[in-house]
Amino acid sequence: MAHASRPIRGMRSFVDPFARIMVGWDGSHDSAHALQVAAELSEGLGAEVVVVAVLPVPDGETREDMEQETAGHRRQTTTAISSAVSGEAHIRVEFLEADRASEALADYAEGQGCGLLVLGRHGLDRAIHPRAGGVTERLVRHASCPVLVVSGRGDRHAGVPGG
Amino acid sequence: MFKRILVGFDGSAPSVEALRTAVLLAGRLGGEVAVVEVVPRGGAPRADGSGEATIAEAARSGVRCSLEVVEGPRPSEVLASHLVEHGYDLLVVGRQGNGAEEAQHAGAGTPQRGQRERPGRDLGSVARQLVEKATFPVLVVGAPASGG
Repeated sequence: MAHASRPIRGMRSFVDPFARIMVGWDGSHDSAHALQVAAELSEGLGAEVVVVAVLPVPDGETREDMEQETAGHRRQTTTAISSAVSGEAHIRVEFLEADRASEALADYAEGQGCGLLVLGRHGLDRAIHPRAGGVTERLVRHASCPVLVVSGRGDRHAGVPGG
Repeated sequence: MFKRILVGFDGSAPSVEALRTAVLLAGRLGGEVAVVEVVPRGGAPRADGSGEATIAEAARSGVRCSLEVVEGPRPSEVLASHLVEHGYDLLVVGRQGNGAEEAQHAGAGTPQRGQRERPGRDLGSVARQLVEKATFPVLVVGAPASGG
């Protein structure tokens, strides 16, 4: 069963590190830009793009409520992701349910052998908790693969970080 | 995309890994790599040749690669200015540097070799500044996992 896709221990140096690019999606403008960058990069690298959205754990009272809530979140997210990227890009969308997005995304990236993680610089959490450091900074600290951080307004060659 | 890649290098294990990752990306994307080592004003570049050795390795893989030593007070600002001035489109840095870089450079003088940031999953001051404030793409690379 699926012998071809089983990772081979000790053969790591022969594995393409950029075969799978993961994008952390939170619906922010920056994460939409991250998806666009990943889609463009994937063409040059011949990589697969996996967009991972962390949905809140549903808090409905009945199982039916929770299922409806989850289905609604998934529909909205899928629509937003589709409109953020051109129809030609080959992307796969995955949903995780977790309270801590950074941990869920880091675990997913490691478990799925993602070689590159692309994130928006300022996500939605930043708007709510501007001084909390944010999901992006936590992932830069904890991800097991390189993390590419991009800005949604279109990165420009203007900014020199100061102070 | 990302044809002109700038690497901030200080000889630390994560910065060597950053350089390797940049060379790998450039090789795949048909790009070139410029390596910049930022030293405090009047400071000397690292003499251990780790930059040159890694660049020689890169050259063997067919990627155009250059090394420049630039003086300046804060590495994150020097790297950002360099990127803007020379029109690079991606900055690659290690997750942690060789020491408390920003403070060390701001104070100028001789780098204190013994002073190191805690290895592991901490974020160095240079990477942190760039992740938070840069207005261009920044790729942050950790040291390779031991035994991997």
